[in-house]
Amino acid sequence: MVIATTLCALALTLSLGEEEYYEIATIPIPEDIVLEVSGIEILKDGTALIATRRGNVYSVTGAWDDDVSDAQFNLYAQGLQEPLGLLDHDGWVYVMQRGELSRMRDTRGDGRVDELETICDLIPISGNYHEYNFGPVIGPDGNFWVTTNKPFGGEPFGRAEWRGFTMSITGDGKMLPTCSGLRSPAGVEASPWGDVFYTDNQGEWCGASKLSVMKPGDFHGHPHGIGSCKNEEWPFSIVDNVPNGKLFPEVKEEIPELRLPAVWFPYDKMGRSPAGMAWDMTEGEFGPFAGQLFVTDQYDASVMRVALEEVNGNWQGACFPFRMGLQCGAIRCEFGPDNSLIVGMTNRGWGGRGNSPYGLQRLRWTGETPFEIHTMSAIPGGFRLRFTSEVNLDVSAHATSFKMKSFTYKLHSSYGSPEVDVKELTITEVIANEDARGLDLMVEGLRSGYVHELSADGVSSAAGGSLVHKKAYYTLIELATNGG
Amino acid sequence: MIALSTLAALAALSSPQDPMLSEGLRLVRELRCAACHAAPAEYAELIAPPLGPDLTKVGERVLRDYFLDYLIDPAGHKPGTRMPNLFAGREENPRVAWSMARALPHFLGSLGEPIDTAPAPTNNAELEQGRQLFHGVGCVACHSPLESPEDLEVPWWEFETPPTFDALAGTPYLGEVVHLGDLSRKTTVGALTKFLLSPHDARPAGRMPNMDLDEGDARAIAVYLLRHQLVESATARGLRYEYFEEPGLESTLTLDTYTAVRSGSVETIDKLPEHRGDNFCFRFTGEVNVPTTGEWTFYLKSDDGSRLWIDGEELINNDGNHAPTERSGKRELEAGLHSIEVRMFERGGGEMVELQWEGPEVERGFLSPDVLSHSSIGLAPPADSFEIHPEAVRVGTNTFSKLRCFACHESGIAPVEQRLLPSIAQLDLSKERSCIGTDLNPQIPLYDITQEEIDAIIVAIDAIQQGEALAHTTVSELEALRCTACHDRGGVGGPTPARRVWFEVVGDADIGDEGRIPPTLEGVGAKLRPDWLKAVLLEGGSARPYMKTRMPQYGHELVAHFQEDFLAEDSGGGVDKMTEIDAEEVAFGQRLVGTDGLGCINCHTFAGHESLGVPATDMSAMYTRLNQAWFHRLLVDPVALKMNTRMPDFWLNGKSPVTDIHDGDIDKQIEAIWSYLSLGEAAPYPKGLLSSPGEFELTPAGGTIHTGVFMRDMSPKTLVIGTPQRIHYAFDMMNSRLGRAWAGKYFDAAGTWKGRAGQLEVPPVPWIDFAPSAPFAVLKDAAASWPSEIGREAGYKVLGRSMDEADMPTFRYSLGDVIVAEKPRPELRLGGARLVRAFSITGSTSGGGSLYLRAGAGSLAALDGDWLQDGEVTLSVSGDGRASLRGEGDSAELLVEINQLPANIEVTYTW
Repeated sequence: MVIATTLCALALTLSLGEEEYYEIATIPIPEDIVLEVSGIEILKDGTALIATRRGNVYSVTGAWDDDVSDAQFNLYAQGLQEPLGLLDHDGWVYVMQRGELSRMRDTRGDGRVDELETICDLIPISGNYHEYNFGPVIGPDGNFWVTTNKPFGGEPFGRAEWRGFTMSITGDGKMLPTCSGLRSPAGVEASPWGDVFYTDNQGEWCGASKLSVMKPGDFHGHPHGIGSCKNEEWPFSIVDNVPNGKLFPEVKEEIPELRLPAVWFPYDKMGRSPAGMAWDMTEGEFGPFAGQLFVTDQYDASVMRVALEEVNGNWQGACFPFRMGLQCGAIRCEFGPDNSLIVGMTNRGWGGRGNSPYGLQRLRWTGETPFEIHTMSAIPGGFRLRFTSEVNLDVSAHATSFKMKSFTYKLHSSYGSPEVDVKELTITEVIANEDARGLDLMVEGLRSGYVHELSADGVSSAAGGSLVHKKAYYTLIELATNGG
Repeated sequence: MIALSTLAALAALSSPQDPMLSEGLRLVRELRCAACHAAPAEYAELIAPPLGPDLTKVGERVLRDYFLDYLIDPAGHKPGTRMPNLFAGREENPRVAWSMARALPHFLGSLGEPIDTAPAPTNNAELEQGRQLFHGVGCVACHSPLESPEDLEVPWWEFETPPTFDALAGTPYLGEVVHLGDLSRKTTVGALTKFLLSPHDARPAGRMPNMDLDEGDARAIAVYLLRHQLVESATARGLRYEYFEEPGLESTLTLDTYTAVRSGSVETIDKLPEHRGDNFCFRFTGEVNVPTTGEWTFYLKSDDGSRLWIDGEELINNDGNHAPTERSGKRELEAGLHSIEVRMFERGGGEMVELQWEGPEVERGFLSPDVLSHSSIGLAPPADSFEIHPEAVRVGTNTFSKLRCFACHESGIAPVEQRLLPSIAQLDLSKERSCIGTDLNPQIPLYDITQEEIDAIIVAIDAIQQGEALAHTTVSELEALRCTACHDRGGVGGPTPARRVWFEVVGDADIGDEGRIPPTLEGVGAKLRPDWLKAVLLEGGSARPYMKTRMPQYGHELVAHFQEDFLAEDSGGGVDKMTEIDAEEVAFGQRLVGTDGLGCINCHTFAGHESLGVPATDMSAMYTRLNQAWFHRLLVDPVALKMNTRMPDFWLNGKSPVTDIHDGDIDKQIEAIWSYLSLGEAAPYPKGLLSSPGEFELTPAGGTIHTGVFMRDMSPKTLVIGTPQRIHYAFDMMNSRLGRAWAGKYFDAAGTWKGRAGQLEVPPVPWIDFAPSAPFAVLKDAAASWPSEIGREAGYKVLGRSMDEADMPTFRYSLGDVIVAEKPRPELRLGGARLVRAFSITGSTSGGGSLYLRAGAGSLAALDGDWLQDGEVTLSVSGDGRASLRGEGDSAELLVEINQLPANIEVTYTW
């Protein structure tokens, strides 16, 4: 977030216009329903299933109408224990509860679940509120992938194993520990190409919030669960002696199992608590960002945008601000049949922006194309920026139109990390792409393992407009060696 | 700082002072140079020597043998001490040094009452308490930690050999360490406790602050610091007790999760040690000496519940909420010591507990204190090797004077005229024969200082001799008192990297580093109101109950000036803009603070009421603490104040999300909040702070309600089912076990739904417990005992549940190849409640033995074809099984043998 009163005016100009391109519709919630959203799944017939932290699931119809005031809510299931994710799969609705992965369905056809099967109840819980479980999604092995949050405070029924892990759960309920070192993995989503990504929240051993790909055997940085890795169920190498206070890229040198994030979300600049996410598979119906990833933020009441690319076999990329001003803590999102993005919210227990305790809103593209940085990708010696429309090269194609600095984070037991080892970078040359929709920035001193923060203040479109969002944050893990 | 009298000199001070000069001035003062070398008048206050330790009662607190060791090598015992070695120059003739020094202990030992060297009794619990306090409340901000954070997670008594830790090894940067010295050889538990409670009595310089300890805390820390005085564990008569205070008790089993308020020993448990009226529990532990081998019967009577364990096995279960009730249990016991544990709890009303026994040649009666014992540990200081000798006292008194000890130490002995030493103005620091020179001389004290420190001193003395305008800066004063060990100001201070880990939050407050690291002092004069600054500095004012580290107290003279310094240096505090109050503004503020406004109480405590999330500072105290201008800046952009805060800013595009108050104007809304907060504790509650009565109360009037909860004494995965028939039950989804049933009120879900929740729930009214075991088992024969395992350990697998049209669940689970569908069903009955458990059992039993259902357990009596359990619940059994009673007394069981599958069985519980 920008700084000080005087800059409020700047914030105004920075964000002005989001609503011209993406309009928000607030879906009215019946007065007798407390819709602290914890999971969203859209069924094939277009019904939205909305799970709540209180343990109910509602089926919602009418959320895709132009006028949402007639949206209908019906109780679909009750008595689930803090269900934090739903998945429509094989004729069942899978649900991740506190103590088990279950699936449920309505066999009578009366709109209410009458059958619930326990798939796997091997994920231990100790009675600590913070031991949330997230998922499921289908992983690259065809199993259900879920993530487990670590406890915070007392564990009244005794310490539970396997907290801070990714689990791959087979259809017949076997639980295969897959990744360790997670902290508060509030969102988990399978990518269109099969890899599963998760979001984690800044805190101890998590220098900044992040989006990371999960590969079997990964260690994601938090040592809470290391003890569990000593059980025979953990088939991978055991990460021990995590150093306290070194830089992430330094630790990566010592601990090859450490998974550096695909995207760091710099604290306060890109929200504070990333949660749910959805890939834009609308092929352009949601605007110019087809194939990109949208991530909700529970603190910021916002949706952020991420463009990933694979460099030398590693997924990495940039994040961009996208849309602020939702009702409150945005925790889940899904694309609807009308190619809109529905966002579910709750701020219970965690304060943030907005002034509603919970909510459900829908973001629709107005059809106007915003002038935005479409993608930022690594090329040898710099970055390529692609824009959503042609740029005015005379005005924009200069080193002075941009500023860039890079920084990284510490892996340590303190809560979050400042941006450290900050370096202002010199842009030596700006080369226009042939189609005038892209600029290649040649940059001195690219560093692997560092966030490269770009300010594109001097860019203007061929039509004379300035960027809706001028900032981008590229997490450079692998330096590009070819292409560009 | 500007609180000096040398204002004339200060007037000239315009440019920032050289750090080396500041350090030198600080050293000249801390080393007490001016105690012997007169300071020029205009610098007298600047370098006025702090008072040395007060020796008038030193004989009461320091062991006699320590004096000599310390005096002839102070820095060897306490590196970094400001006490010089007064015998250093006498090393060439050690006998002279020895003869000069050896009388001093007699003199010092004679000051005050004789030291009490009796062993101090303690126990593991106290030692552990001290260990945690020492590392938790802030002692280690200056002193070295004595154990590693990892070791501190493990209770003291679980180490076979006590853990050791070298804080200086392998850590990034510990910073300056104030050495504790060899305390075990220096003092006693009693003396150290007294010192910790009131450190300024013995050390009036105030460098060792008062940590606001109560007597128990102080003694516990003393015990821990003197743990090397541990003498062999002793055995005491009677039992050890631990006392706990806890509301809403239902069972003695939950006691393991509480922390004892107090502990000690008792001769007999029949007279309870001091306790409050209600809501408490006791644990008694120790050994019982059984005189003769044979069968022994124990009788345990209590109000409310109690339990008895012998050798770690439960013998009597008299638990639960009840009037005085006696239960008994018997066992074969060998003659000799057996461990014994009794627990009792009291929720409300009267309370009592009695333990009796009878056995071979012993008639029924109370256990004598002679047969009860418990081990305890004691600390004993090393014994004195000499008696105080009056003649040596006289000689020692002379030596004390001759060495000018009185220059720094109050001792009750009048100072004696001595040859005048050169004044500071006259000092020639180029001479090798000086206090800081290299040439040792019998006449000259030797200080434990580094070459850098000597250089700084020379710079400072030189500046004084040149008559320069000098002052201590605020930051250097903060450094002198080591405020900078915790706080930062002017880019100096704050916990060093290696020390940060020792700063912790209380409990599980999730507020990041803001919750554990003491606040920055940058701009504190603009932030805090003058009165509150004073309260924090001098009156123990505190706004952060979540922080384990305590704000120490140094006393008026040392820190009062900081109030003026901060106010003078930090601009922007100013006076409140708001001068009058407007009811409409207050109402706006109230709405903005509540959950339908900006939701401040999602994180902030308000008038002592917990927030909905983390325990951030109490809003109702903000008006008294903070300046309005600072509060305004904070709300506009919290991050810009660089407090490491997780406080959000609420604004978007320069507007408030609350658009209908002052048209979303940020400044006006912040002012409205300030108006509201000005009412302090009297401010009307913001919306969402208190759950309105019934806000989370669930009433299954319109149909069945299912709620997943953590349930105390059951499992963290319990499904609570409420029915319109008003008969409700809790099913343990982790262990496939019907746990409890009750009638009437269903359930208030506040503990599960309010804020971050996570409470362990209990039913709102008295309930019945079902047998605390697995429902089914395959028994080899009719005499085989019921397995104690439940759930997965007993071979159960949770399959799921199905719901009928009324949403009443049927729970499905398996035990090996046996598949069970269990449907609890409320039924109406005249005059009470009834729950029917309908079982449909399919599959097969493989292997030897028959399948049994355990319908009841406890005290059971046949009653007209049914059974009465524990005098309150009637059980009846129907269907494809044969019910029979086995066992007797309180450990009877009602088993239903199932010979053929599929089988349908119904068990009805009426109460």
